[in-house]
Amino acid sequence: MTTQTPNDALSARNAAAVDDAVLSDMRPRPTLVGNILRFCRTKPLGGISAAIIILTVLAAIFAPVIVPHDPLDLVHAPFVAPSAVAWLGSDDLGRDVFSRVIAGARISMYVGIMSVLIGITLGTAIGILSAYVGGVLDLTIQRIVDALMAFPAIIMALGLMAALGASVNNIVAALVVILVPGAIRVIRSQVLSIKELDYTLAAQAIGARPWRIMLRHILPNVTASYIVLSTITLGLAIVIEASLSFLGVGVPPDVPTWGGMLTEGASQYIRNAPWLAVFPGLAISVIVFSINFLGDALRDSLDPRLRGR
Amino acid sequence: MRQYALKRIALIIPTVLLVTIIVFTVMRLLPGDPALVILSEGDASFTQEELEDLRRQLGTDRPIVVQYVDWIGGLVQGDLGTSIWRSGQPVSKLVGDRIFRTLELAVLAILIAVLFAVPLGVISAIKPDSVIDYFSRVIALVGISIPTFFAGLLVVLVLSRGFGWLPPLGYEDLWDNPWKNLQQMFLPALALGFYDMAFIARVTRSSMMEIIREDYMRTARAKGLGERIVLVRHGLKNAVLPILTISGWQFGRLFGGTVIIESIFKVPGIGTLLIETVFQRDFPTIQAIIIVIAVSIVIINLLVDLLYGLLDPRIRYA
Repeated sequence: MTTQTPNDALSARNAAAVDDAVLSDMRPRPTLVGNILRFCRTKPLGGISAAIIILTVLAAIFAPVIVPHDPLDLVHAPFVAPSAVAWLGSDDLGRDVFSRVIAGARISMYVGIMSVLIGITLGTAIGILSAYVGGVLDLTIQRIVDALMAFPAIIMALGLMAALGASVNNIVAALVVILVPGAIRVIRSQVLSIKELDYTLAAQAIGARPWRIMLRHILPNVTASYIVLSTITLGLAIVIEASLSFLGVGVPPDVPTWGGMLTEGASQYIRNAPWLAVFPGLAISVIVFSINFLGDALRDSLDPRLRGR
Repeated sequence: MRQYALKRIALIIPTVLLVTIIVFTVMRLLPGDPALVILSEGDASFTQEELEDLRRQLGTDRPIVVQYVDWIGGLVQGDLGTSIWRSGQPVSKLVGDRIFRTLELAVLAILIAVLFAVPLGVISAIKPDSVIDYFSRVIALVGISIPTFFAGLLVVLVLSRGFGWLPPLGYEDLWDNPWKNLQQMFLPALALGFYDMAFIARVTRSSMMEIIREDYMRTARAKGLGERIVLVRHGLKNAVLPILTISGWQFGRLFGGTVIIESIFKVPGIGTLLIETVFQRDFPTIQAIIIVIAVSIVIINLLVDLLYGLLDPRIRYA
């Protein structure tokens, strides 16, 4: 039996500590795939929603390959009820509703994703600048945001479409104008608190330039909000595009869109051929529902500060 | 309270001014000038003289700042400009004739929404995980995902196919034929209020949930008050504040929704006027309608804030 000296005990403890450090280094670091799997495990509905959204995006991209018929061709008799031949029925001219719903995803997804990417990015940039620089710039930007937010989204969109003219890219432009103010407001309020945190102050203390602080210290810390905002506003963007096409001031009428299909199928045929309105309407509702659900789930797991907004 | 009110009222002046500048700028965004747009529609043959005449008539031959100041001067006096198409009718008359119907639709919608949402929210808060709770949570989730125009079509579909009931045709004003008018307005108001019902039910549920755990609720029960009085007088009364704020905000959003609902249900309100004028590119009228709506919303938000301050002393002294 050997006696332990205090020194031995100390070195044993040190060895254990070193072992721990080595072990913790060897533990797998969270990877993207690992994070995604964890998200799907803790938020199953969020995972399902994400899958629906990804499927829709894929359907939009590969629409020309997937559709059984050309969405503009008169392939059936008019008003065929949903059946094995025409899965979702045919419209008043005999066009295939299933093919048109798939083709409609293209416009919705393109307009939604483009406008959110541009709008939220621009809003984040302005929000960071406004909060970090402060003073007269902040005050001016905030008053403009106040004024822009006094317009209901649809009304603003209608006014802009009247001025710009109907086209897909003009809808994107109108949506950017609608989405930017909200993004500025959310990001600004977060940056206001981030800029008082120790790490920002430390960066200032060692003489980092404002640009560097905004890009390297503040921007990474609003990434979570950026992702959540993008998801939540994507639903809004899709609904506004559909509303504009429904009203006939969005995409030119020969392009199949979900909103446009509802106009044609809507008032006249709703009693006798409800499938004309129900399927495109369901498509919009399901995708917006999924986006809202994913947005909520992402918010809960990425950024608790946004809860309840 | 007076100071709070004055401060709040002073804040809307720059907002309203900026609103007018934004609308004015947007309407000047259009490629070319309005006179050219108007003349090139239709058979598209016109002389230089006609073009300059129309420019003078529209006032677009003057510098833009002069145009803006002139327009604002008119606005302050209640002159909203003249319509290009409707044989030069003053826009204020066009808008005035129709805005009441839009307001009626919006008020009915918010009434229906609150009437359904508050009881639903309260019941699901006091009986969490019950059938009614699940029902109202599903309604809330579905309600905020269904776009207004699809909700409108679904309402028509369900009521006409399921119950064989259709609203009477031909629009009648409330004061001409109240009963027929209400029958006609019920469906659009229901469709319009659906989203808000979902939203308000959600807010009611979460704010009641918080209040139920408060000490004063236990105190009220401990001193022997009946459950209904505890819930209504002590619970709901405190939950009303957030519900009121949300309803006020939603009221602004309803103005956007009416545009779509009016066009589905053929209600001759300000929304259908806006759509018609957008198609006709009647810029003075579009400009005026948007201003009227935006300013109404700024004012409604102000009223909600003031009411909130009046009801809750914590706000006005903050």
